[in-house]
Amino acid sequence: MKVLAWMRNNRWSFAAIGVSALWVLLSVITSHFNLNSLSGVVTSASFLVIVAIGQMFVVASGGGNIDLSIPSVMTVSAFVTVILSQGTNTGLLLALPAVLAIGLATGAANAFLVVRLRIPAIIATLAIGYVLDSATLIANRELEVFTVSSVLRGISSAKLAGIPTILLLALALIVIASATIRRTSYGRTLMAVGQNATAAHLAGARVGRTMTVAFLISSMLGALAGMLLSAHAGGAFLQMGEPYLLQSVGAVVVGGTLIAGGSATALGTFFGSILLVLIVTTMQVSGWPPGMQEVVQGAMIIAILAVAGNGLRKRSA
Amino acid sequence: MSDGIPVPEPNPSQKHIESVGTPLLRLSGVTKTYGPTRAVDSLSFSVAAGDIVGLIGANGAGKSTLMRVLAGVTIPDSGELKVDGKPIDFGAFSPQAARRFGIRIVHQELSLCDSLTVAENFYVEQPGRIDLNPLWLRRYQSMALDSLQAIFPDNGIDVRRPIAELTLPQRQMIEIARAACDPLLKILILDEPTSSLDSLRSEQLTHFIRARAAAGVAVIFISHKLKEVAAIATRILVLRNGALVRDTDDATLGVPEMVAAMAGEAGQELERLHRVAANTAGRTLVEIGVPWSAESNQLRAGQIVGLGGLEGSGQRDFLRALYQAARNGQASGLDCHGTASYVSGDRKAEGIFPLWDVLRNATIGVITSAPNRSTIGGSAERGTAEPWLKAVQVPMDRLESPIVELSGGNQQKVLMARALMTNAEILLLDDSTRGVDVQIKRDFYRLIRKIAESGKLVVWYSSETIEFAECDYVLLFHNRGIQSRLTGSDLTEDAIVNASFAERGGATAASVAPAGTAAKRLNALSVMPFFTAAMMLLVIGLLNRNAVSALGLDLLMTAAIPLVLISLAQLFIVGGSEIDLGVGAFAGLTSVISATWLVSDPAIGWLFLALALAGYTSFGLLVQARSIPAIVVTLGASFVWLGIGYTFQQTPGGSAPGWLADLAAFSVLNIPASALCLLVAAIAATAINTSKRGVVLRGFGANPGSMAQTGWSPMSAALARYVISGLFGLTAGLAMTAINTASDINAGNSYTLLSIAAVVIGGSSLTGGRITPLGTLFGAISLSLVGSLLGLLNVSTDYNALVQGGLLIGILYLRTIFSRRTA
Amino acid sequence: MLFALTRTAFWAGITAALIIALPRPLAAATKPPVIALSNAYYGNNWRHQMVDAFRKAADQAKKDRLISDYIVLNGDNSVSAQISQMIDLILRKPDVILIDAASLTALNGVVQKACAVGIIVVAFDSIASAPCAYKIDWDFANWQRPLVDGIAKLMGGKGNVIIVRGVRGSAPDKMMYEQQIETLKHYPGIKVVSTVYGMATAAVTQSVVSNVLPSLPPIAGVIGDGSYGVAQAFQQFGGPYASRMPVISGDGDANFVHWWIGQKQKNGYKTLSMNAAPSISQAALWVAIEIVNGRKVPKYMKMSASTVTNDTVEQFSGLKPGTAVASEYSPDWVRRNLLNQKN
Repeated sequence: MKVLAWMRNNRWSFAAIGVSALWVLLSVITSHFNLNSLSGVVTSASFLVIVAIGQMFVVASGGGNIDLSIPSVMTVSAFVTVILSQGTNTGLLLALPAVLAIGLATGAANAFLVVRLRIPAIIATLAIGYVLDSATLIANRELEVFTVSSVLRGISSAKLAGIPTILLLALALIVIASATIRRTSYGRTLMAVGQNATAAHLAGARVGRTMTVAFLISSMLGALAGMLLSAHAGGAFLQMGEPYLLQSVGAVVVGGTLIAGGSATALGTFFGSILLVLIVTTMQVSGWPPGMQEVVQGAMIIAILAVAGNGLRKRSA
Repeated sequence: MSDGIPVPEPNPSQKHIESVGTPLLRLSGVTKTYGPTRAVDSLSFSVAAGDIVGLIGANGAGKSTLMRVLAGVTIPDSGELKVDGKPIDFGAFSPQAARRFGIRIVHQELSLCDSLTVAENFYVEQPGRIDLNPLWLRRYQSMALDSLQAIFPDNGIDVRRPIAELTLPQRQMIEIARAACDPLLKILILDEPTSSLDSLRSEQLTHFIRARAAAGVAVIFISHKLKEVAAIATRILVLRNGALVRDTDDATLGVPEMVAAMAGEAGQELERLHRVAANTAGRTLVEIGVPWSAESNQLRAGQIVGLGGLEGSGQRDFLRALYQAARNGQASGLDCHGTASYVSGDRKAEGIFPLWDVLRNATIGVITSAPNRSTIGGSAERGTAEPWLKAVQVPMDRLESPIVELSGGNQQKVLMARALMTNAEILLLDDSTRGVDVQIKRDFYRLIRKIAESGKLVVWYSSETIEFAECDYVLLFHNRGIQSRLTGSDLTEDAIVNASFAERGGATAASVAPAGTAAKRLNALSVMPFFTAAMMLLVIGLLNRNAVSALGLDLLMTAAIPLVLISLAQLFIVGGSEIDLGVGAFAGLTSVISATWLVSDPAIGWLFLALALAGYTSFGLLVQARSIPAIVVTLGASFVWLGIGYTFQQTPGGSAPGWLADLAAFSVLNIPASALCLLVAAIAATAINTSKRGVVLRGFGANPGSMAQTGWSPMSAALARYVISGLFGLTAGLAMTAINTASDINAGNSYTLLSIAAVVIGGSSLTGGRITPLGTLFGAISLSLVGSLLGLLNVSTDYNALVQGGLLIGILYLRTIFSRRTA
Repeated sequence: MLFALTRTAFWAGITAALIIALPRPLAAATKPPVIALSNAYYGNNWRHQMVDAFRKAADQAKKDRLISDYIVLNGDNSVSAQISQMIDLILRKPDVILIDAASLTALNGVVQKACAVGIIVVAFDSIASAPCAYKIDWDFANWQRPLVDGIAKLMGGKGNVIIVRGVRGSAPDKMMYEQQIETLKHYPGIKVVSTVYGMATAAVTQSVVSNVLPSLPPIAGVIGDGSYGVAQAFQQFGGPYASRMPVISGDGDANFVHWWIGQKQKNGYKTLSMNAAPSISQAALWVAIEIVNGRKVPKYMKMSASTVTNDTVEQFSGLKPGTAVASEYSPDWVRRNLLNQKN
C-alpha cells in the first residue's frame, strides 16, 4: 500500500516502470540484455525531451493550454540555423541569436493572443504555426547550403565519456526544469495558476505574466531543439518538426503531468519521452506492421488519458 | 393561441372556494444543512390553490435553498413534501419531476440558453409537444409569442432572435413567460421576478399573477421590493436563519413591520465583542470617488469597513476593483496607497488549490507576491507559515494533509493565514465566513478585530447582514454605487435591512445596460465569411476571366468540397465546445475504405464504414464520460485512423465504386455535381442545426448546466454530436474518393487544421453554442480560394499558410474587440 | 443565390470556352508552348536539385525558342495546396503541366480536369495515376535487383542485414521493398534482422537505425534509402563497426559518396550505389516538348537509375554537398531511352 501511495505522489514512477518493462521486453525479444541497447533510443528521446519540457510548462499553466506551434518553430529554427550559419562555426554566432529571437517572438505572439486577446491557446498557437510555416517555406527558397557547423554537430551527435552530449543536455534541462517547478516562486505560481487561475489571481499571482513565461519557455526550447535537430539531421527539411506534436503532448501526458494543468513533473516527462521512443523501437524490432505501430501509439495515449484523466476539468475555452 | 394558454379573467369569489380543500403544497419539517450551517431549519407550511404567498427574508435567510428544494434541484436532509396531498419521494425528485407535478420556478439567475432563440428556449423546456412537422419551430414561435403577449402585452420581443442579443429585462420577461404559461402549472415560484423590470412591466406581471391565482394556481413570490410584496401578496411568510418567523395573511402588513420581522432579535444574538469609535486617525489607504461614490470617501488604516446592501448591488465588484487598484496603484474611481490581500468565501472556485496540501495552500500568497525568497520547500517554508497558521488556529497536525480533506471552516482559516502572511496593509474579505459554523465565526470576528487593531484596514463584504455589527461603519451599496454610510449608533441590523430594502423607484430597470447594440455588431460580423468569399471570388474573376467561367467555378468548387465537408464535421464538434484534431485523418480512412472494400465487397465495405463511424463516436463518448480534453484524445485518434488506413491500403490507389463515380458526374440543369454537393451539404447542415436535435446540441454547447438541469442527457447529446460530425467526415471521405477516383490515406491530413480555421472564420463561437453552417461553408471556400488567389496574383503559394493564419488571427481579433465592448 | 449564380456563370463559361477553343490549333502551330511545373514538395535537397535542373534546361529551351515560357509552382507536400496550384495552372492554360505529385491518387481528379480542357499532363518522379497523364516513372523493379545482388555479393552471400524502407505508404517504397525481398530469396545465407522506415530522409534514417542498432546482432549489410544516415548511425555506435563497416547500399547522396571515398582510401571499403536522379525533371521537359510537337510518345515510360560503383566513385569527388548523383538529360537521350519504350 505504501509503495502505491508513494507512486501516486511521484507520478513519474509509472513512466519509469514502463521504460524498464519495455526494456526487459526488448532485451528478451532480441536476446541482447544490456544497458547499451537503450543508448540509441535515449539519444533520439533527448530531442523529444527538450521540446516536451516546453510543452509541459504550457500544459501545466492550465485552462486547456497547449502549444501547437512547436513543430513549426522547430522547423523554421532549423532552416534559419542552416541558412545563417552557412555550415561554419562563426556563422553560428549569427544563427544562435536569430534562433533565440524566433523562439522569443513566437512565444510572445502566442502569449499575446492567449493572455491579452483571450483566444484559446489551441487556436492561437495554430494560427501562429501557420505564420511560421510560411516563413519556413520562404526560408526554404534561400536554402543552398547543406553542411552543418562542427560545434553544433558536436553538441548534437558527439559523445562525452561514452554518453551522448545531447543526453547530457537533456538531463541538465530536466534538473533545471525540476528545480524551477519545485524550488522557485515561478514554479509554485505556475502550478497555482494551472490549478485555479482565479484563486491564483486573488492570492497575488500575476496570472498573465506567468502564462506568458510558460509560452516563452515552450517556444524557446522548441527553437533550440530545432537548431540542434538540424545539426543532427545534417540539414533542414520541411516538416521535420511534425512528429514532435503528438510526441511532445504524449510524453507530457504519459510522464504524469496533469493535462488539466497545475501539476507537472520534469522527470516524468523525461521517462515519458523515452517510453514513447522505446515503444516505437520495440514495435520496429519485433516487426510489427507499420500501420499497427501508429494505432498503438495513438491508442496508448488515449488509454492513459482515459485512465488517469477522471474528474479533471475539461478545456475551458 | 394554438396551444391554448389560458388567460382567465380575475374572479375574486373563486379564491375562497379553492383555499378550503387540501393544500396544493405542504412542507413539514424540511431541513437542509450545508456543513455547520442550517440553511433551512425544520420548515413547515402549506400553500393552497389561489394563494399568492409573499416570501421575504434578509440575505442568507434560506429563501434560495427553500426554492431549490421545491424545484427539485436540492434534496433536503429531512422532512416531507406533499403536492396535491401526494407525498414526494425525494429519491426520485428532480427538476423534471417537479415540472410534472406542476411546480415551475422562475430563477433569479436566469436559466435561459444564451445561444438559442426565444422560441428554441421554449422547446428545450417542453420537448413533449413535438410532432414530425418540419416547421415544428413555428409552433414554438407562436407559443412563445402568445405566452409573452399574455403576460406582457406589446413587449416587442422577436422570438426568432437568440437570447444573447436581448436585454436583461427582455430575458427576464421570457423566463417568466416560459414558466408561467406551462399548461400543467399548479405552483408558480417567482424568485426576484421584477429585479430588472420597470414599473409598467411589473404591473403587467402583477395583473397576470392575480389572474392565474384566481384560476387556481398557487404563487410564491419572492422579492426584495417589499412594497411590491405588500401590494400583491394575500399572505406573507417571513424567513430568518432558515426558520419561519412569521406567517400572516394580514394583507395590511406594512413595510416597516416586514423589516422588523426579517431583522428580529438577531442583532442582539451575537454580541459585539467590543465597540470602539472608528479609528479616524490612521493613514488614508483608500480614496473612493466617482463612479463608485458621488462624494469622496476615505478608508483609513485600523478601520473595519463593511460593504452592505442587497446582494449583487456592486459590493463584490467594488472589492475586486479595490484589489486591482492595490496591485496597479489605481483603478477607475479608486486610489489605493497600500498593498492588499483578498480572502474569498467561495473557497472552491476562488480560494483553494485542490492538488496541494495545507502548507502550500498557505504559503502561495507570500511565495508569489514576494519572490526570490529562500522560503520554498522544506523546513524554511514550514517555519514561515507556522506562526500564522497557529494564529488562525489551523490544527497543526494537518499541515501535510491535502487541503480538500479539511472542513470548510478550516479551509477558510488557511486562506486567512495565506492573506495575513503577505503582511498586506489592506485585507479584503469577500463573504469569507460563508458556510462556516458559529464557533469559527466568533474566532474570525475576534481575529478581524485584532487585525484592525494592529493597524490594518479591513474591507468586509458579507451576505449576512448580522456580521456588519462587527464593523466600524458600513458603506451601503445600491445599483453599483455607494448609496450611504452607516456609523455608530445608526449601525444596527434594523437600520441596514431598512436601508437596503428602501425602494428607489425604477432605478434598477434603467440601469441595465442594453446588450442589444453590441450583439448587433457581432451579427454584422457574421456576414464576414460570405463577404470574404465573395470578394475573393470577385478578385479572382477580375484577374482571370476563366476562373468565373463554368469550368473555373466547377474546378474551384470541386477543390473546396473536401474542406467544406470536413469543416462541417468540425463545426458540430466546435459547437459542443470541443475541437477535433483527427477529423481529416478520419476522412482519409473512410476514403480508403470506400476505394478498396466498398469496391471489392460492398457489404464488408459498408460494415467497415459503420465500424469506423462507431469508433469515431466512441472516442467522442470517451471524452464526455471521462471529462478528458478532446484535443489530446482526437490527436491520438488521428494516429489510430492513419494506422488503420495504412493497414487497409499500403499505397495510394483503389478506385471509386461505380455509383460514386456516377454521382461525381451527375448534374441537374447543367449544374455540375460540385455545386450540387455544396448545396446539399449546406442544406443538410442547416437542417440539422435547426432541427430539434440541433437545438439541443446548441443548448449544450453554451449552457450545458441549464440543459442538464432541464433534463437533457449530456451523453446522448455527445453521441448525437459525434454521429453527425462522423457522418460529415465520412461523406468527406467518399467525396475525396469520388473526386480523385482513388484514395490516399494521407490525403485528408492537411484539412484538419484548416477546418478549425474555417469554423472560426465562419463565425462559430469556440466556447460552443453558436453553430453557423453557412458561415463555415463560406469560410472553408475562402480558405480554399486563398491558394488560387495568390497564384493569380503571382504570389508564391508559400504565403498560403501566412494568409490563412493571418485571416484566422484577424477575424478572432475583430471578434474579441466586439465581444469586449459587449462586456 | 448560389444556384442562380452558378447557372449564369455556367452558360457564360460555355460560350467563353467555345470562343477560346476555336482558334487554338492555329495559335499552337505558331507559338512555342508554355510549360508549367507543379512540384508538390520543395522541402528536401533532392527536390531543390530537381527544380534547379528543370530551370536550367527550361532556360536553355527558352533561349532556343523551343518553349515560349515556363512556370514553376512549389507546394508544401499537402494535397490541398497542390490541388489549388493545379487549378491555378488550369485557369492559366499552359500547354503542358509537368507534375511531381503529392499523392499517387489524390490529384487524379484535378489532373483529369486539366486533360479535359486540353492541357497535356506529364507526371514524373512521384507520379499521378490518372489515365490521361503521360507518366515517367522509376524502373524500381529493374534497379533493386542489380543493387541487392551487388550488395549481397559484396557481403559474400551471408550475414545479417537491415532493410531501410522509405516513405511509409508511398508506392515506390512498396515496389522497392517487394523487389528487395524477392531478390534476397536467392541468398539463403542472408537474414533480414530488422526493417525500419527512414522516410527517405538521412536524419530520420539515422535516428531509427540508431534506435534499433543496439538491440541487433552484428550487421553485415544495409539495404535501402538514406545511406548517409545509416553510415552515421553505425559510425556513432562505433564498437566493432568502427574498424569494419557493413556494406551499406548507396542512394547517390553526395555526403555518402564522400564518406565512401574516405572509407575506400582508409580501408578499401566497397559498396554500390544506385539512385533516382533529380534531373528527371529535364527528361520530363524534353518529353513534353516532343508531345507538343506531335511526336508519338508512349503513355508510360521508365527511367533507370544512376549508378556509382567502386570503380567510378572517385569521379564524383567533386559532388556538391547536399546534392545527389545526377547526369544532365538531353533531348537526344530522351529520344533514345524513353520515346522508344513500348508498353
